Amino acid sequence: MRRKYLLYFLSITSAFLTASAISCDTYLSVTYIRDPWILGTTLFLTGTLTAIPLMICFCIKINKKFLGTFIDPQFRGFIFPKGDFLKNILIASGANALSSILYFIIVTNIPDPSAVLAFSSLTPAYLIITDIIIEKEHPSLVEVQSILTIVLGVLLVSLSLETIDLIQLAIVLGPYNLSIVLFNIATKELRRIRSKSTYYDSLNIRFWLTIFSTLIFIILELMINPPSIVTRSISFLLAYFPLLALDMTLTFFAYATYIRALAIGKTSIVNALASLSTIFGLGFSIAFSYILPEVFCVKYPLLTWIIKILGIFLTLSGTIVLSLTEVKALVFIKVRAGIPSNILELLLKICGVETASAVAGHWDYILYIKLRTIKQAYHIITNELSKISNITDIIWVTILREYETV
Amino acid sequence: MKIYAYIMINVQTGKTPEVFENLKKIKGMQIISVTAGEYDIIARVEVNSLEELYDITNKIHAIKGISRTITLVVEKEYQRRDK
Repeated sequence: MRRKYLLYFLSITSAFLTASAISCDTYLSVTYIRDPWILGTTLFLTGTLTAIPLMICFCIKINKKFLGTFIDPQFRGFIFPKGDFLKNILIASGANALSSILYFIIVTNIPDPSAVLAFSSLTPAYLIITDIIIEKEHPSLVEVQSILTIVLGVLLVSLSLETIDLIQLAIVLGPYNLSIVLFNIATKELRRIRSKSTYYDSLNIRFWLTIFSTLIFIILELMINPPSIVTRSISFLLAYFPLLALDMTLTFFAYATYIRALAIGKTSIVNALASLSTIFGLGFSIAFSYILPEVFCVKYPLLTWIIKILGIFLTLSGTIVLSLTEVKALVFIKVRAGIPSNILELLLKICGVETASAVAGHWDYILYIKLRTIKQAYHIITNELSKISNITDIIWVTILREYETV
Repeated sequence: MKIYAYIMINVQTGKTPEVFENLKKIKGMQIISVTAGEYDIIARVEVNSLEELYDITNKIHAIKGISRTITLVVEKEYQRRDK
């Protein structure tokens, strides 16, 4: 299967599942659980309760293959977190718990899933800004244009809401998206960590994220609210378990496919495709507003619909343009005797290097590089490679077109 | 154990699209990149043995329009992304 088709499939599946789960969240919050803290605790506890039997099912072997390998071929059974994996799981879980609290505050106030989903479309813009700050580089014109398009699109979607709230908008633009960015960075790192010469799989990552996110969420909750909130959440859990379990199973698979997609493609491309969830969300909003009009109150005037659709298209176009601005290259390196023994590790640490290979033949090392702009190539050659002693020759080959299989 | 190799290919002028399409048909091709620089196309292949690599290079040599190839076998590799 072509790598890019798998990436599209995983990201779009994740977008669809996310939109379905958010519709469930909206239904639950409007109909049964109006308090964001109780809704959050109930969903996290249900998430843990559903993740455990799911993991047990994934560990069942059929024809010497784990069931989980049908979802992620990297799955090699249940793994306990330790070392760097544990550290990044804790960072991602902390960010996930924080973004979830803010998400539940938003979702309990906005009965329109597509509007909630639009806010998360800002993540790619934040990722690029983070990248620019870390690398101390000026953004390109295309990047500035795309970021402004996304922000304008999201504002148009949110302005179409009848109950516009500036505090909520500030939450979304600030801590909500920043915690999602932190979650993305830590999750991407999780897929890069090896355990016994193999990478950690998306199912184990999602499972441990669920467990630790629940723990962190409850700790945060108990710091703010009285302990009785947990017992109240448990009573809601028992009363509405089937719907809660469906919601959290959808969420589990939405995250598992998203994490797997993150390992295959660039974060901004995955986010660009995942932002299709806004369109799926809009579809669900329209469909459910006819089936359950008392829950999904999204019957706007025609002008509001036009503004809303324009906003979604602006967000999508900005995100897609941003994700397509990528430069790929191969660098061939020749060295003489005396090169450091850890040269491969040093080469892999260079920003943008995806693969560092030691080869036998005309060249000694080959680097596969992915960059945001061609300007970064100058930085790599003049600042990074020139620091390594005993390199005698370097050639840079820019990739114009690529075909890749999985 | 899998063996990986890079095959750098130089192509006669105007033959790149044709060679690129023919390379896609060869089993074992992992990444085929059309490039600007010293080489016209760079293919990364994944094989089970050196004999399989020999078969692939023979198939590549049979494609019309290829003027030169260089094969580099990967001895050790570090990756950031998964496969």
